[in-house]
Amino acid sequence: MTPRTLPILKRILSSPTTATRSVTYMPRPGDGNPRPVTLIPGDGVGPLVTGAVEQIMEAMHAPVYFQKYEVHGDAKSVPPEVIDSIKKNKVCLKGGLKTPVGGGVSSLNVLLRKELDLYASLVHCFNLQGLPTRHQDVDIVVIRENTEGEYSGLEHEVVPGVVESLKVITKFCSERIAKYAFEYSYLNNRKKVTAVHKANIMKLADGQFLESCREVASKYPSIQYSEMIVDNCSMQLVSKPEQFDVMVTPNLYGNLVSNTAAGIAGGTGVMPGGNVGADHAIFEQGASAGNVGNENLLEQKAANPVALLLSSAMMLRHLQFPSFADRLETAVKRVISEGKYRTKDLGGDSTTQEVVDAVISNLN
Amino acid sequence: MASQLVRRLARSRLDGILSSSSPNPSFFNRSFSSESNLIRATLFPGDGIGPEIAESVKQVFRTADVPIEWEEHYVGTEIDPRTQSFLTWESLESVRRNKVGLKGPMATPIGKGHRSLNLTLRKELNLYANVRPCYSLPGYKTKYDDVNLVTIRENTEGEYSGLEHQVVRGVVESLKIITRQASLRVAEYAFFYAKAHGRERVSAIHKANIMQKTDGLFLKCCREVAEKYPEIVYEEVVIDNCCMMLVKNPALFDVLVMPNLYGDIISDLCAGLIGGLGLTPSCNIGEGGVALAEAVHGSAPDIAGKNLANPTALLLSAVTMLRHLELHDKADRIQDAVLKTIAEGKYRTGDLGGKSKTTEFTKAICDHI
Repeated sequence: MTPRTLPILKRILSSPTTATRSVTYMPRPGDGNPRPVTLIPGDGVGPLVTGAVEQIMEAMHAPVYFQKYEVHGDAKSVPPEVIDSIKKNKVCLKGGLKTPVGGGVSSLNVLLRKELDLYASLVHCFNLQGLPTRHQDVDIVVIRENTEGEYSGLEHEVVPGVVESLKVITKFCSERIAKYAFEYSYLNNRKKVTAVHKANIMKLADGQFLESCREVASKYPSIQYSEMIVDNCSMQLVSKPEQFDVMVTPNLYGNLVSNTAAGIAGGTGVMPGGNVGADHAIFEQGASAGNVGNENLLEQKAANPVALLLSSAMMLRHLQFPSFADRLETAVKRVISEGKYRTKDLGGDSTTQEVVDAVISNLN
Repeated sequence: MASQLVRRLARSRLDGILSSSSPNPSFFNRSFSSESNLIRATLFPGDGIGPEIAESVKQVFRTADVPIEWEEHYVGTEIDPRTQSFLTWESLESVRRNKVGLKGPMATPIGKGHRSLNLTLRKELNLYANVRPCYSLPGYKTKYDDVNLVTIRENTEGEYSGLEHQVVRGVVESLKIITRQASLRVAEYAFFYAKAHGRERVSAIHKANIMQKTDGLFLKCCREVAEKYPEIVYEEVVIDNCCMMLVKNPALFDVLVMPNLYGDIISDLCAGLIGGLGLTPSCNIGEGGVALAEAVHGSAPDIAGKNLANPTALLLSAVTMLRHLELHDKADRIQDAVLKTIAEGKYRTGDLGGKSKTTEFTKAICDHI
């Protein structure tokens, strides 16, 4: 068990009175004023899980209020009032936006990130107490460059039957994502950063990425830095995931690595994540944000709200409401460890509402 | 799991017998001689542990009476100007003539002025598809026990075209190329393989929601080929979903066909699921029916010559080669012998957690045939 889950576990097992803190958080006067947060329910099961978050925020009387905006994945671009709202509030919570496959419409998830320059995507994959998985001791944070790389969207048909896609890597973006990764590790007491690449084949592009990572690594001598080729990395992830701590990757590999890590730790339905830039942050389900479930899931109302709930706990911490974040996280983890209310992807048969009610009743 | 294997083998044997009367012409440009004639095959033992494990393969084949005559070729010590690498023109001609080959691990010598050995083989022989059958070895416990899938990866284009340039200082562009011709070729092979080996589903792995034109073209080609094989179920899976499903429940997949980069990552992921590169067979298919089976692990110079190497990967790759030659009977016998030896657990090499030597392991396999 990692050293970080032990104090949380102790707290869960101790008497279910108010959560005890060793040293208190001293706010500034006025910090308790309710903060507005933009809420985008999204498509598919999005409204269901964002509704869950709204319910729980109400139950906790958390000092946030949501400004809802309807956006659907098949629109050509994000409506400007949504962008303005996010720019004003600086924080957004979002369900998934479904991208039509091969339909000539760019993914709105990606557009939103590019427009607001949210260049770091973070997914935290960890074993949850009480959720049996094949791998133990998983506690991986994948930090992925979010704006360039293979997702530049620059494709064209050279002649009929031959298509080219450009992968762009710049020193500017590689440097800032490396800086974010090391800063994150420093602030969160993480010991190792692994850069994932394919520089043996794509020598110039991934070579540039690695160069930036090495430069930044030299400024943080207390953090161990290593590099790993992406195919070896996937193999190590499925056999020995405990060797990884923080991973920093370009765009496409980050997508694959975060989904693999989420899968080995319990599934994308439970892993929290978010996108952050210099000025704004959007919190959403960790990996596979474009996956909005199928009609079956929607009909039975059995989507897993845990990922978005844990992401909203991350959001509360980002907004500097640590006590509310702790309460929410403790309640969710308690529900998972008890095992009575679990949605289908975790092996149970509860509906979203049942899980929400269980979390609310576990709030202290 | 073992019963599934037996069922698959039985079905593929039947298909082999039934389909040998009308094989797809582009993949079988050779007339199959009767078993009394020897089939010539090229053997590249490779470096490091290569010669030892190649010797194991030869021994096992001798014991099993496989009608193959080996033509051995080694990597040269100087650059051959006709191939611009350390591989000689004669060895490449040999593979082109025999149409079948087996390659051990090769360490590319460091230095400039020559092409990497694998790149040379790929370009000269036009090897367009890399096939890796991944199945859990009964008796060797990993965290996944029910893996039984095949990954087919396009090997010539995609993200590995090697076309990069620096636009201005600090900005680098890399081209990913997808052509209709290459995608059709690999899709055709994937469906042909599925049919020939009794597989029921083919899944195309892509990221067409983001890379709409490139992966979109790949998917279009797969769909076209899928229409010609209505008895095989065809589905498309986005790659991030695929990664997640593979690590949660690998039994969901059967045959996977993918462009170059995704194929690289997914095939190594699947190798990790069953126990690593030391146990994974692999086969490269080229134009004109060329098949070059290879062991994908490294040459392990630290244990070279000490009789400690694990020949399983090369043996199972040789089995894949036999299946390509439609010698299903011999292939099954050798495969069963290898699996039984590993399952019994009495003779296992160091990397599987045992203490046997290569020669003891090989002898145990020969005894089981």
